[in-house]
Amino acid sequence: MEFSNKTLAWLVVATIIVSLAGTLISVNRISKGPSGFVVVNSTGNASVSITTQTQLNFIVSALNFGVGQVNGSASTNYQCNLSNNKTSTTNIIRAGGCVGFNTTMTNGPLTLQNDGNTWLNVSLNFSANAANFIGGGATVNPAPLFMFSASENESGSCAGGMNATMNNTYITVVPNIWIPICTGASGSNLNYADATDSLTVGIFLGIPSDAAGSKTVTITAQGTS
Amino acid sequence: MNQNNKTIPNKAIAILIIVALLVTIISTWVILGAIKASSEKQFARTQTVVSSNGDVSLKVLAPTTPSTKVSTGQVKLVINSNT
Repeated sequence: MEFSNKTLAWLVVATIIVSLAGTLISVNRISKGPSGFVVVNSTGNASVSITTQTQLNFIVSALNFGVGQVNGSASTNYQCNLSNNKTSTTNIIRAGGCVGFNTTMTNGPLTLQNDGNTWLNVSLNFSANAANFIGGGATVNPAPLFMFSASENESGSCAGGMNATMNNTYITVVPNIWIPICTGASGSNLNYADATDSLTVGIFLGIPSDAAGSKTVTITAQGTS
Repeated sequence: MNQNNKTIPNKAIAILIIVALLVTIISTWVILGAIKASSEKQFARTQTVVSSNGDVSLKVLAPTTPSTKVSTGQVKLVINSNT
């Protein structure tokens, strides 16, 4: 069987048409892309555990009244009084026969700060009383005085309120016992939030004119969560 | 050969065959280009579609036993003898 030239020509034309049509159809379908994508959803869980940290620090840990002398006379009651409290964050208050001694505090008053992340019950312990810390008080001289106060350095730090007995009020130091200054149920004691987490300890000294020597007393603050 | 066979010369048939070859080559080239473009588009779509959902949970552990910390401060002065 033989094909005529005309038949071959039509076959070639048909081939071209089929080829073009196939190309158009293929390109059209490819350009639409796949009929669907696989959507991958990945779910992850990140867990963070924060351990409660109990941390209480004296951010101002030294109060230095400096070097001085007491003018022993009846007019001064043979005594010099030195003190600081919340109302004066830089000045040392002097009364009586004080000669010398510092008039300002280098770093401010003794200041406690809750540096942890939980509420704290705070108590103080003094290593000595007035007689052991300052001494003196013989004959005409009055007895030495060693007193303290405790107040909020930042308002609202002690959420349930400071111990009213020594809140901005000086009371006589009783040594070697824990004296609560800010205590209560968690949430009512010393806060840990940065803006409301600090307390101030005020000191009042009564120095008789017969006292002498280098004097140091240690105050230990305890924070319990 | 009849009369019809003579109306289309062999030269014309050869040209048609060459045209058919060219069309086929061009079609193949176009299809390959379309496949490549489609692959790139598919990749881009895949990048867009993939998503991830995460949950962050936070747990603060309370101490099992009370914890206590201490800090110390000092009060100092030097008293010279009263002359």
